[in-house]
Amino acid sequence: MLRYETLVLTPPDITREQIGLLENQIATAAKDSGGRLMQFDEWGKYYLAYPVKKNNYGCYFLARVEIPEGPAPKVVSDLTRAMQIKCVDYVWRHVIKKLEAGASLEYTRPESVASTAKSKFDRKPGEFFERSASQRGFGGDQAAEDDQDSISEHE
Amino acid sequence: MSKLKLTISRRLSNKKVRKQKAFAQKKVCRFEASADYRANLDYKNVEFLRGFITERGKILPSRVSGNSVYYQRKLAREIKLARSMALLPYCPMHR
Repeated sequence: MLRYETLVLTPPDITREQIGLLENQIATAAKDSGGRLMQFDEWGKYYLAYPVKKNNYGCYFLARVEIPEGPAPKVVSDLTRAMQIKCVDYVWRHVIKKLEAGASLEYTRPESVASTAKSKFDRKPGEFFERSASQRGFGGDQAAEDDQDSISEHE
Repeated sequence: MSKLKLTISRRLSNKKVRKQKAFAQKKVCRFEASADYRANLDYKNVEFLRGFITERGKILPSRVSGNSVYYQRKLAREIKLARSMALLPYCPMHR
């Protein structure tokens, strides 16, 4: 059984109907290849690392699909078509990844806005980077040196 | 016939000493050491990946993080994937 997963980034004001449509499109894409939609996780609202389409927030959805092994699976092209054409209005970004055969289905997701309950006014610019490389145990000198981007570095 | 005397500049000799010091410690690739660590290597695992980027969001080189070539490339690929999905930034201040 081949497993694929899709992480979808949508606007934060996505409606329930649109979520349903997205889920249906992915399920149809899976069914056309003789498989099924394994899981459809709604991650919720997140503060994005950089503004996407001039929005600082977005919603993530993770969908996993399982299809039987066979000649030339077209599920990937079906999924991309679903995301880029059919759901183009409410899908900003998406990435499709093939999961390894024996890999576990557990994953850790980043903390959403809902769980941390932090408003954007609490965040200071640059606060995104909470720990510096030196604090993480890497040679602080080396990392700091690289960050300076000085001319002497390019010897 | 005059002989050409090649003297090494101080800048160059300092660089050599610095490079030797940097490579003095034998670093172990943490991914090769444990399977749990390998399982963390995922573009969704943002907290884990953040340990491998600098304050500016640049990917740490393997001579600093101690990763083997294979895992450094995998790590870089996952970080870039996370960046494309707005889970990690490309540069420090986007605003």
